Amino acid sequence: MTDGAIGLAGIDYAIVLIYLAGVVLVGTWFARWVRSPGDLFLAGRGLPFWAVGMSIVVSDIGATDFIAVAGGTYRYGLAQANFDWIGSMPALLVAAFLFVPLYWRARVYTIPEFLGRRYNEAVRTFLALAWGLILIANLAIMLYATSILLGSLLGWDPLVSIWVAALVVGIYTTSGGLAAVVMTDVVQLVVMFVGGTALVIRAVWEAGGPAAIRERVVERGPELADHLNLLLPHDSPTPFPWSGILLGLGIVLSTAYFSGNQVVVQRALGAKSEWDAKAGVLFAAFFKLFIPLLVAVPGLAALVLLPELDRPDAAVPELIRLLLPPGLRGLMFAAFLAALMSSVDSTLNSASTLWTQDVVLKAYRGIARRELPERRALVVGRVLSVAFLLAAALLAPEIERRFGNVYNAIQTMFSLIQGPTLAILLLGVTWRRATGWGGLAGLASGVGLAVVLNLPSMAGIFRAQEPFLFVAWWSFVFSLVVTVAVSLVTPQGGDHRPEAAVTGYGS
Amino acid sequence: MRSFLQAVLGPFDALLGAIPLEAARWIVVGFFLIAGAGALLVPRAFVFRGAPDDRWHRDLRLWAILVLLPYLLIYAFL
Repeated sequence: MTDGAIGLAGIDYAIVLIYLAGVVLVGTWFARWVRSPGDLFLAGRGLPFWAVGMSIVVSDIGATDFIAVAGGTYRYGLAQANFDWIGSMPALLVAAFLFVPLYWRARVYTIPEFLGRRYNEAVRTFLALAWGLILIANLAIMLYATSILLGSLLGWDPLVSIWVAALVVGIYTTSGGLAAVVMTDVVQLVVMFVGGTALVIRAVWEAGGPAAIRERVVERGPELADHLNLLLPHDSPTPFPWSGILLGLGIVLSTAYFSGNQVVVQRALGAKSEWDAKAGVLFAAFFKLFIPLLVAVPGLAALVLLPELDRPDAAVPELIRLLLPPGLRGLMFAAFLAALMSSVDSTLNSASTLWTQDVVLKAYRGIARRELPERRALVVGRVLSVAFLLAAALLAPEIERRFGNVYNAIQTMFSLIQGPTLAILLLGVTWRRATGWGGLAGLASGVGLAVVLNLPSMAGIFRAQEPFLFVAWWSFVFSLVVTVAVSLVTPQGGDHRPEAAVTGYGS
Repeated sequence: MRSFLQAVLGPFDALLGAIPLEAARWIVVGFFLIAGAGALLVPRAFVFRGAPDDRWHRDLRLWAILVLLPYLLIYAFL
């Protein structure tokens, strides 16, 4: 066992094994109803609102969130909680009342498919390839991060961790599809909340309660002066000044994430009615309210209980080792696994959906001039899922070795594309005059500006340490302006089909 | 390119820097209020579309306001 490993007793392993067996059983049970790509990728459009909402929340929270958000709170304070508060609620309202109903009515499988109908096939192909590659890379990063997490918590060999996680998730995701993913997500949300709550209650109790934590943080003086503030000054040296939180996170990144990210939106597309799709998204907003309590509060409690930590990310593993008895450790570890598996299974299913619908089936249609039969399309979806999982598991150990800090690179890749995607989505559903050329120009130029702003020569142009929030905001604004300008000088014709998407509350 | 971008983005950056933190808090609260008002303005027919019936507890505008309220209080008072 490595230094820092929390160690599990026999009862903890029993709890973890029961949890894993339960998830695989629940997941594979849904395989009997999978007969077509619609069943595999959209759960046959039969999901109730509560399953949609719980799945959205749990797909968003990864195992590393427990570690990294608590670590971020230990280092920067409560401002870290903005990602689940202002970074969720307004965006989820926009998703529920603007975008999701349109997607659901269009009966599409993917966001690029929707934008292809609204603008043109070039926009669809650009986005499908970009998102498809990002999701596969993200899958590999998740598996790699998981191996690091399990190695530091339990002392497991990284390769064993990667293949065990890939095998368990692969079995139920490829057989049961979205229904299996969503229903196991429901179980995983419960396990995550129970395990996380056990740690929070114990940590806050040991620290003397919320009032004592507040008092002790204030006592530490200027060093922790901003730790209890949600909003930090514009010139704050942290990555979270209020201006970036409002403009970059609250307006752009969170809206793009909840309305334009295939992993999130796919659950709502599988809802059994338009009302369930909208209600599911709002139900997710309710659960998001509690996420900072699970993942950020332990970081504050650690400031009192473990004031001299060298690495902030060690806060949660140290609290587990210090405070949780055998049994509860197993529960907390099951919560980690739940957070991990729910993110990996969702990303895998969505990557497979994107490539099947927007790349393989589209290419087949273009070459053969007919549709691929449903049973064969189902086989394509399953083969792609297995292939992506194998590729991600094989890539995972190589990634850090070859590319250095890839986790940050992936976050940057997401920030390159989310602002421009939101810009053309927003104009596409609210402005009939937006043309196919406008959408393509807006998308390409927005991504281009985001790339330029991330160049090393642009360092220091923003005051924040890691300015991804401002990059997202400006690439969004630029993309909006270019889409409008090009749309005004290009003809409405050819591929231009505003009726395919433009919102109408009266209709 | 760098100097051009600085010239374009600089005034906006200076403007944000001039806003006191307490005012920023109320700007953020206003952002939540606008989101809530937007939800209330959604027509009833749109809200209930696809619902099994139109009883009051299926009114998603009500759901939106109930869920929004705790967030609003957090940013107004925490």
